Amino acid sequence: MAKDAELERLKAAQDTAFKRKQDAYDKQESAWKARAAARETMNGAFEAKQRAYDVQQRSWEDLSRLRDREGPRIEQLNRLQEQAYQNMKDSFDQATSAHNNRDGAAAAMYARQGHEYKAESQRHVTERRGIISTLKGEADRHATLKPAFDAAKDRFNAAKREHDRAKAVHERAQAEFKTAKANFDKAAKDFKARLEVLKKETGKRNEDKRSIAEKAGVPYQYRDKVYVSKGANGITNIYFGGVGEPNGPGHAHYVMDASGKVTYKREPFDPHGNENFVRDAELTRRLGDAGLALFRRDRSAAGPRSTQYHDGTVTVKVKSGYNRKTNSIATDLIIIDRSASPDEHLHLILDELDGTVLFEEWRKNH
Amino acid sequence: MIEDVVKTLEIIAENKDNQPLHILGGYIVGATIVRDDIDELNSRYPELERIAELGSELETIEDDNEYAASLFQQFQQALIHLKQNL
Repeated sequence: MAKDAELERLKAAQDTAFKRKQDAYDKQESAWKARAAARETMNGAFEAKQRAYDVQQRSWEDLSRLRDREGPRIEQLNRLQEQAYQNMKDSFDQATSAHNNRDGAAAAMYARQGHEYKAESQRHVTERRGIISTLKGEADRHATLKPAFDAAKDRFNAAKREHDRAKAVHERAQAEFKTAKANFDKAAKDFKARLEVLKKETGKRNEDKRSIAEKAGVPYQYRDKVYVSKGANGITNIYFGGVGEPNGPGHAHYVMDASGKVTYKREPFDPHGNENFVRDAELTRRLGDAGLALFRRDRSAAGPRSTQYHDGTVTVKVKSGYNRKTNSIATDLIIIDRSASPDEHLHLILDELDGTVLFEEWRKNH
Repeated sequence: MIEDVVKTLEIIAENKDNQPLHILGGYIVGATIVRDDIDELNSRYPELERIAELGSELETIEDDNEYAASLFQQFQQALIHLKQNL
């Protein structure tokens, strides 16, 4: 196929678009890997956060359950302590009254009861303090879990921000790839369309060449592989059968004139030469007429006289061209024989077309 | 030598014997084309070649017609021109 500037431009555009698409694809892939890695990190951070949350939650639930369980006991202990305290106070008041009434035995009994209530009240206080201390310890332990959860949450948030950034980069790269792909698809489509046009044109040219080869009588086996050159003068040169190329070494050469007549035929590997010209009597006559007309217009077109033969005795001097006397293209010969006829010369005029003797006379030299 | 040729041609041009023109044409050819050294002389004196060919044409016209007279006249003028350029 002959070179086509538009096709080459489109091919270059397609190649450029392909490279851009590949670059955009690589960039998209790279961005996707970064996004996937960020997502992995984010997922890991999320799981860590969830684990920290679960630990904290379980601790909170344990604490809540403990509080729920021990809260009523504390209230009960408060009531029992209050009751014991009140009983202690009443016993000591009664002991005081008994003592004032000089009832030593009753005073001692009430005093002993007062001390028992006091001891009971202190037991309730001790138990309540123990429970409260346990609750506080559990609350403190729970409180230590919160920073771990907060840190895990911060790490997750940071990972999420990085993931969101990588996602945005990837989505931009994805959009750029889509644009580059669309541009490439269009460039490829344009290239293909032009190629199709050229293929059709080439097919048409090949068909034309085949038709010309057929018209010129090129042998069938060469008709699909001919090189045709058309001149401005309407002459068509057809080459085929060469080595490697139709016009390669040993090629055949046909020449067809503007009317479609083959004027020259050289078959593959035949020698170059006049024998290859296809003689056309009509053409010869027309060329003769044309040549004669030219000679008639310009007599000086006749060539100079030259010595055609000389052997020291006989000399033949020839001039060729238009002869006014005979009104034809003629060969004009002056023949001198210094031995046989030293005082004369023979003047002979022959018609160039058919060799007819137009003039033949011996003339005296002086 | 050109002088010998010119002298012969002058005699022919005078035509004192009133010869037919085609005979004179033969003489002109005899004085020019027939010479062995004519090619060299032609190269030096182009007018001589024209005279020789006028003679060659004149010797083929045997009826001394107007055209022959015209050729002879051209020969005479060419001779004058040749002499002027010697």
